[in-house]
Amino acid sequence: MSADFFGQKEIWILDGAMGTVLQQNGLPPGGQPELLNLENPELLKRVYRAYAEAGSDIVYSNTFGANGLKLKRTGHSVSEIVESAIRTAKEAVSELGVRVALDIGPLGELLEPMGSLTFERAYELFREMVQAGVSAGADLIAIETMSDLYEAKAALLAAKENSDLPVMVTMSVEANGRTFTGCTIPSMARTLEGLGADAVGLNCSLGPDTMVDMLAELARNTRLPVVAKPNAGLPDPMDGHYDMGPEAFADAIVENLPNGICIFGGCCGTNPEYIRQVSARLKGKKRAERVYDAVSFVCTAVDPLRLDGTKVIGERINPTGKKRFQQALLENDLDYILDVGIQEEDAGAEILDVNVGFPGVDEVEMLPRVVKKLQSAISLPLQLDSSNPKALEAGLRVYNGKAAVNSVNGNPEVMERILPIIKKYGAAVVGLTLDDTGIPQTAEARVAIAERILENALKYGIPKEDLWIDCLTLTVSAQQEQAAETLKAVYRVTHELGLKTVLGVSNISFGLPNRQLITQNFLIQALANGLSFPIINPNQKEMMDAVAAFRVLNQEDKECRAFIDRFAGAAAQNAPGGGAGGAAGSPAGAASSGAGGAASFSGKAVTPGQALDDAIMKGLRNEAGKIAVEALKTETELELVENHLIPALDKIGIDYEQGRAFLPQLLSAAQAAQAVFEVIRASIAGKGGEQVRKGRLIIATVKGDIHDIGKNIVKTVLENYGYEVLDLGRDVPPELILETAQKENIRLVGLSALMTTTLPAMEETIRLLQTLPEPPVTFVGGAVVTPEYAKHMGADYYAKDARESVEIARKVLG
Amino acid sequence: MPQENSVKLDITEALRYLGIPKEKQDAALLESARDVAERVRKAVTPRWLYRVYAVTPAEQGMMLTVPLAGGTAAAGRNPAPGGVLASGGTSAAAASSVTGLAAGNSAAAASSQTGLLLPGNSAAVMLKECSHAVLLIASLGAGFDALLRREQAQDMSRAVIMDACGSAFVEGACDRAEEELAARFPGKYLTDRFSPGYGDLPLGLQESLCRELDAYRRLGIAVSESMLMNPVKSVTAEIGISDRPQQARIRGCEYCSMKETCAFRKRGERCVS
Repeated sequence: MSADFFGQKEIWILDGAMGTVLQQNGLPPGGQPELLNLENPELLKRVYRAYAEAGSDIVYSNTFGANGLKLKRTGHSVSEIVESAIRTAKEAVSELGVRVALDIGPLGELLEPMGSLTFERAYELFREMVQAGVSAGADLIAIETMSDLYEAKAALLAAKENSDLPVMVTMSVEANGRTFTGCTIPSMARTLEGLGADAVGLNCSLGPDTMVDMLAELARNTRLPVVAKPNAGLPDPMDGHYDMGPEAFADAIVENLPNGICIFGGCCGTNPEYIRQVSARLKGKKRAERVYDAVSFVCTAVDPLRLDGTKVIGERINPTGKKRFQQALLENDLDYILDVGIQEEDAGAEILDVNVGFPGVDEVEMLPRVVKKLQSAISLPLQLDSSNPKALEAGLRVYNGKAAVNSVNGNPEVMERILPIIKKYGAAVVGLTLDDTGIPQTAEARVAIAERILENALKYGIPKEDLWIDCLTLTVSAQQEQAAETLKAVYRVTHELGLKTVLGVSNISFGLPNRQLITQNFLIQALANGLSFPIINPNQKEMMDAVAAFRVLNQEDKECRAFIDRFAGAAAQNAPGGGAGGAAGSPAGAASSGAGGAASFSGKAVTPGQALDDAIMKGLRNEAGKIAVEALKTETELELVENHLIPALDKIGIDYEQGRAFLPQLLSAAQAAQAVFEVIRASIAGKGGEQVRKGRLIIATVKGDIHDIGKNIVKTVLENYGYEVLDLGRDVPPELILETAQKENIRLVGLSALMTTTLPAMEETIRLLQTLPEPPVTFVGGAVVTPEYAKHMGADYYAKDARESVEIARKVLG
Repeated sequence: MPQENSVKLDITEALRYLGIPKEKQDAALLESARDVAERVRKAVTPRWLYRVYAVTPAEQGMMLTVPLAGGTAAAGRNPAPGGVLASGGTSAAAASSVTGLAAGNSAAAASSQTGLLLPGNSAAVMLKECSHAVLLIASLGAGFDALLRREQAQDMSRAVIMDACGSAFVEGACDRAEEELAARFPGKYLTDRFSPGYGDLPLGLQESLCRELDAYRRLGIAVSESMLMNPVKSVTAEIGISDRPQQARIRGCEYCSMKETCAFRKRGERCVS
């Protein structure tokens, strides 16, 4: 249906502003233009008609903000407004052969992780609009003025899954070439094309002159028709009027023609006269030739990754053989998983492989949760690693950007299950050179499978550059002759098939001493044979060093800059006494926080226990962790907690209360304690024993409140006293708190509110909790909460700060 | 839309927001704060926009009406309102029918056909001697929130410093905007800045104010049902413009933009004696 809608004409003319024209005709400032669909359709008809007569081939319905969120307080339904808008527009222009686009603007609230509107809810809100638009006979769908790629994705998916109509998506960028949320032009172009948009482009925010280079960049990053719908210049800060007249606007917008842009219109500040001028200048013009940059590419909204050289895929988010990671998965400890990812990013990984498959873990539910968690704080593109097609689809659906998937293989059934999902979500995919008969022993046979996968991928409409081949690493101590076959296959897939390759390198050295030496050698040979994306542990300095050196020799690291940056400082430090063992010199090590000052462990004659107290008090995270390992040789895990951790935290807590230490220092100490806890957890997980736990509680920032740093402070401190904190997040509905307290049998609930406007939600939560047969103890805090108000609400305790919440937890949970 | 890297980020002030008085800001803390502030500066560009309105006293406060300069100054560049539709006759009819609609539409909250009402006594006192007033909105944008989310995952200690630096930075942006305004109105006098939530100026004004300034489209700022702005480091303010020197009226916590989050207040202390 939407196959080649925009191919029907060389050049398309859209309409100009709706809101501007309505305001010029008396719509009050701050009024809701969507209500005009019901109350004054005649006025709208005149606007549509004026645009049609000015030369528009497509007019946008007056439905920019006609979504369930914005209409909530109007007493009108989405379908009522949208259907009436489309009908009015069709009555006005259909007889002139002009098409009506269902206009969809942003929802007006920010999506997670910026706001608390979930991706799924955003999808539902857009679906409602799409279904109404389809039933009223819209000819196409125009998603516009998006600044969040995630929101654009929700809208586009809703459009594609609930209609057969062509869909255009345009986003708004600032003068720096990014949207307000930081989305780059290549990210939007590649992600939206991958998701099946029929045209992409830019609208609003800038004038036509400033958009030329950005649209050219957009055009290089997509094969789709490109839309230009700029504002009439920039608004005057004094009075809000746009500074560009119709002639200047039209002169500037046609500058886009040589770059192959073929769909033109106007946004804020324009009116039918602008469109008349644009239309006149473009009459009889043809589309210019375009050059598409057919490069392998993955991205997040803010991090476009053009895969034209060696890129490191981090392998650490994977439970295989990692007890602590397995435990985190089973306990829903997503903070731990995020931390692993952050360490990989800091160590120089460029893509993160994400594998959460483990017995007892529901991957279909877990993978999307982990994707969201990682994307809340990490900007790197992800490679979703699973053999479960349902989990992959669930993960790809909520991924913001263009992801990679690991993996498909030569088995026809597997290809049939996985490749349609890859196509639908526009991902890149790793093809393993094995099939239902196993792993072939020769390079020739593996290349043949790669060819078969390529053939199938193309059949499904997946472009060649989106298929990466894994020629499979076998353990050299078991099958020694296979290392050469793998390298040969990498060479041939790279040079004969012209495909990118990935390789999980570490497996090569399994079972041998000095594993890193073998792995590093194999990595270097594989890179020399053409390997594009090694999957490695970026925290291993030897591997990253090898990659850094390869990039110099392969001319990827221009003027050796990155190499010099990496090693110039280290050379001076490591000069005397040879290489320091272990992680000491590693750039990957987490930066220690807070005050300087070396650990006193090796300096003075103190016991590890005393050194530990000192490191915690001073907030020396790295030292504290290292000393804890030592201390565990003489004390048990529990003794470490009871004799050192908690007394040290108490001491800094008292300093804090008495104004000798402040919040940053209190938190530094808590984090040093966290490092110790991490050592203790790993030690217990290694032995398979029971973890040290002092009791569980819920904390949450109440409904309507999005400021959560105060709650996070409380969480950090409580966790490091050994309490298990169920953090329900921010903007949490009272019902969810009740339900969780009931289901998990929770005895203590902490609530935070920062604004006077959200105090009623806090009160409501407490009221609801008190309806339980055995209500949990509640404590409340946050900037606007006072002891009096806490009492008035019926809270059991008021906590003036994080320190006091510890005292409350002690009283209630012990 | 100005994008200024010359905006001041006052580290001492930021640490004071954390409840650390100047004399207790030791070298280690200051170094840590400088480090964080540098990262904030690198990653974030504060933005602001404002519009100037005419002020007229109204029954329940002060009415801001569509800018005086707008209609006439812009007419030379954009076709005048009457000329945008096909023929003059229809557009006149259109205008009056929209007026009829507005009268029947009470959903438009504080804003009406005639302008934006700043209700209450505080606005009335502040703008008493003013012919004009400015609506100002400044924000660090979503980039700061992303930076802070990551820092919270990594290091809460630095995160609280970063949060405070963000507050100081957005205040710095308001100061820059105010300087810009002072330069635009030579010979005039500006009142203190005040915001929804100050005195009896309702917090609920936030939404219509943001809508009036088209803050979502122009700065990416959304207002939630509970009147919170998102991105978090966003500030709206009103500033009066007068022919006469304006006394500094804003003193004490009641008028402070930090009053919701101030660590001193929580302890029952004050930041200035």
